[in-house]
Amino acid sequence: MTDRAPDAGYEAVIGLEIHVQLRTEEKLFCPDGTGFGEVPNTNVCPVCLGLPGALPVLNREAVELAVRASLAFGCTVHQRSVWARKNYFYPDLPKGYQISQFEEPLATDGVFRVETDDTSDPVGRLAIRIRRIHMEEDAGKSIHDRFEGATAVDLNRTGTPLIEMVTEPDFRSPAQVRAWLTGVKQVLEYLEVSDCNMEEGSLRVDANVSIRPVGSEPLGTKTELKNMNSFSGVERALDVEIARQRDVVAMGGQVAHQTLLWDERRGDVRPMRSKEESHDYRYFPDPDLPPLQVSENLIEAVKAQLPELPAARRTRFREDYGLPAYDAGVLTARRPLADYYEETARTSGAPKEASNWIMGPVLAAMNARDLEADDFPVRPVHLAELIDLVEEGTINRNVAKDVLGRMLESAAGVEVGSAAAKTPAEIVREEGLATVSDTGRLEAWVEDALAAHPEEVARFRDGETRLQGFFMGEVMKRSRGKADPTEVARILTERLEET
Amino acid sequence: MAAAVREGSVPADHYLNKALEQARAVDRGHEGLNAFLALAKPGGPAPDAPDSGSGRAGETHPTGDGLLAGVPVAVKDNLCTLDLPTTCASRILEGYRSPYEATAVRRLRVAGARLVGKTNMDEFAMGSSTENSAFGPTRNPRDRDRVPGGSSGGSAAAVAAGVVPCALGSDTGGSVRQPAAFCGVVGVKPTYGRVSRYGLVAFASSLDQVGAFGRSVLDAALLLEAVAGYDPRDPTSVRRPVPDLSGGLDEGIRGRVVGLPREYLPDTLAPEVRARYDEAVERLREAGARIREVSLPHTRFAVSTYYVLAPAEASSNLARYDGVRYGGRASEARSTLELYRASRTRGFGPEVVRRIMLGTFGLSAGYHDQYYDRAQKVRALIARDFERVWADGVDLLFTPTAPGPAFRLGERTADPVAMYLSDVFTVTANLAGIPGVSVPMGEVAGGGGDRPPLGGQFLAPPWHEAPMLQAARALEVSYGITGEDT
Amino acid sequence: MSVSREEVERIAALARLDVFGEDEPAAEGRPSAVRLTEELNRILEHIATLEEADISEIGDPIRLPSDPVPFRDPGLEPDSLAEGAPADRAPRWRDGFFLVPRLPALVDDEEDGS
Repeated sequence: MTDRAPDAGYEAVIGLEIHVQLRTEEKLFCPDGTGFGEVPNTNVCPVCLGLPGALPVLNREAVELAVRASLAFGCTVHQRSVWARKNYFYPDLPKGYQISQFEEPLATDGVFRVETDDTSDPVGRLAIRIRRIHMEEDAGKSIHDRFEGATAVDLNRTGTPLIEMVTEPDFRSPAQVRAWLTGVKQVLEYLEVSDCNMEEGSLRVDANVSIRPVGSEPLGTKTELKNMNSFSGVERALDVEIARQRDVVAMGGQVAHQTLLWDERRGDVRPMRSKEESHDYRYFPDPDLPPLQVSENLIEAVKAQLPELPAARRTRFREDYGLPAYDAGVLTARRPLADYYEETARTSGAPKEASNWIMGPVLAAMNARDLEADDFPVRPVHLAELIDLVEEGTINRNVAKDVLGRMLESAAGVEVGSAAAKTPAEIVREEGLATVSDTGRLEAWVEDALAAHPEEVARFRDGETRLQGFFMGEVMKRSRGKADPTEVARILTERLEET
Repeated sequence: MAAAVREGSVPADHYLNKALEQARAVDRGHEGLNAFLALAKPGGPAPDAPDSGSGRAGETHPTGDGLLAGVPVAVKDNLCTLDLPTTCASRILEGYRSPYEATAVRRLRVAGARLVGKTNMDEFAMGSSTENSAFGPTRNPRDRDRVPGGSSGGSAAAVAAGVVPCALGSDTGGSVRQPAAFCGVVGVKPTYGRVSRYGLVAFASSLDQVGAFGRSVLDAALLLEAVAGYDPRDPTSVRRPVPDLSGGLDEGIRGRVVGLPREYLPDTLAPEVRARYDEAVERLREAGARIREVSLPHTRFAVSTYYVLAPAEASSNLARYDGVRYGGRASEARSTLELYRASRTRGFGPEVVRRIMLGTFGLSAGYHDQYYDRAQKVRALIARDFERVWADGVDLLFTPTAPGPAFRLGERTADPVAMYLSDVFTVTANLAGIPGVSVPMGEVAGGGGDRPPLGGQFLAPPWHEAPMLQAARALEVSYGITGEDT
Repeated sequence: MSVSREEVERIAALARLDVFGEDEPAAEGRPSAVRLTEELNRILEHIATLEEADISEIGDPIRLPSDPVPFRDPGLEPDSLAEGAPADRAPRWRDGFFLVPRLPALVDDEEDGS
């Protein structure tokens, strides 16, 4: 469900605010760990508890990740940016302010493009401008449904580094938003900047949306949508909200500026409880933290380490390995998978075969086990070896699929990449799975199959030639799949046409 | 003292126990000083052995050699200590025990000092008389009807009463120098960034600095030397070597150019204060200083600038006292909003409420530009005044520390602006981040037959504490203060 | 520049402080909005001198210290919580959580506490 195009004459205008938790070992301003799902209120220290007298000390790794993301999204990274306090009261905000950046953010003016099949875009590319990327600390978690009449506060997440990306209102449909977000997530994963897990909250998307008559320049009154915890949720929430705004306008009403929460279960948006006073965050430069200086050297160093991004890799896979666009898209969707493919393709020297194997049985096995490519027990070097065995004719394709199964079995419970896991050659040798092309043995299996089915032989000779397949199967059964099918076909034809 | 303890001729607890005895004698009861909010137990916790590795990696500080071995030290109640509560003289932190220790306090222990107790103060260091303590005002040991100054009034009084030879305070707008002047002791505020603020409960972070009181310049210098230095837990502390402050104190002031800023000598200054000041200037001249009149034209904006910026930062720094994680809580509250409002209103005294209101106002939408942003720029003008004077070849400035001597208890509590104006000569150093020291500068007639002391203030360029303290030493020597052994 | 009593009440709400208005009974520890308004106006009157300062030449306000923010030393450990858990200091604590009266997240959630 996408793109209920706004009714005659109205278009939607959408902008996003994306919060991304950075994948650092330690918190932004104190050395506590950033693990998810730990015992509540244990990853805490005087700094993130906001104890009297505690002071923030900046994590370099977080700055580097934020710079990496800013560069990847085409932003200008500023040599000087300023930490600011955003003041508001909430039980999961221990200091009564959040350390963020306001007037002078880390990075500004980016553009990020994704390929889309949106027909309204003639070049098939959706370019969205990024107004700014700034760094800030995360708040803790308020849990409203655990205790009767009380909100429980867990401060483990407090101080986890975040970047906030703010886009220009460049989207015109919920489908565009979803496509673009998918691309953004892919890049963030490639950069190893974030886990991007919306359910765990390491990626959070809020949207601003308004509608206006097509061709009109000024923006309508926008509403803010929060509480979406998947990309499809974002898309559906926007669909619902755009429809609601259209109805309001159609009834002659005016859209009210408000914050709405998406209710996934009811498929509906509901206004957030109005605050006691309007937002007045009283931003000012944090006197505890001098401005952040990102030197030219640091920017250059981060730039030099930027990995190849998904779009470039897709193009290269098509050019270097001759893959069709679809395969290149699937194989580059996630960086570990792309690395896996590339290593397999290079080691085996058979890129097309490698693609077939990975897009087929390997991905199926990964999905069944819910594993990322880098945790998949069959390593690229072994998959390449398996492909080689097929290419050389040592085993046939069907046997090879069995061998892959055996490799997975032998690797179960063994550390990924461990020498204890069996190589395909070992399995083929130990189990005697190599293809049999020896004419003597093949002839014996053929004789046996024909002798067991005199009736079918007679029918074949009466012209029922489609029984050739039946005999082939019988021979394969007798050879436990190892018989060289080409040879078998030749011998069968010979024998059946003899008399 | 420290030498005797180091040599072992005096037991390590000797001076601590004497200080505790003295504190009990002067502090409690009718007309008691009320300088302490908490006292250590006799014997107290043993200090860290200097070589026990309790210093932390990455710090630059010179001590650990028993610089203050066995010396009893009092600490203002806004510095976090492990063994005694840290309340900032506020109901909202009544009974609060910090689970961690301020870097300055830890360095005291590493230097061998013994913590005598936590001293009274204006609540969250907001005040100039120590009357804004939730636990009652401190009295001035020189005249118990007078205030000791503030906000570090308890520390100043403890030193003036002879309980301890030196004490730690904090100085945001004069809170060490002004009470030192009022109590007739020495009080030094170092350059911003010289001493770690880690574990100093924040009032106004860009102005707060830990400072030292002493009976003499030497005592204050030793204490400052012990606590100074870079701290990896304070991003505003500066990575600079700590100079030998106590060693060269007697180098004197000969040949130094001392500027007398005319804006600190208004016509409205009491004639007796002016007379004592002029006498002090004569003494400096006699000691070989080259005296020069100078101008710091933006001084008149200093108090206003301070009373925009300090409350603005305070309104944010004090937002954490909400009754959720620690401290006082209105337990009957039925909603979180009510919990916040009741806990904070009940927990904060009237001056703290005033300043939170003022600071919130100056940062709020519609007023931010006119107040906070503007004051930040005027702050730069004030700092620039000083830079020009230093660039002109002036080594030090000399001013009165306060417009007058200690006032009487209750005299200014009804008038916040009058109270704020007692900071008029001290706030500039905090706004510019430069060091300052107050030393006794004679006495004036008190009206009741008493002779309240005055203080004279030296100001110096950033990081120039050593020549500044040498000048202060030269002045106190001219008054016959020798500086007992610490 | 002067500030109205309504403005004082708005600021108090923003700062999570309770003040009482003219029509409400005084309660212990609750400052009077009327008095606060007077006091703040006296202070603001004094502060108004700032308008006379010529700030036209000042670009960026000063920052102390002037060095950029240092990065954390890689070996720095979290400081101790002495007795271990934040529980010791928490006014209300249950099963490892700080507790506050229930916060309503949505308009049609039940009002908290009432």
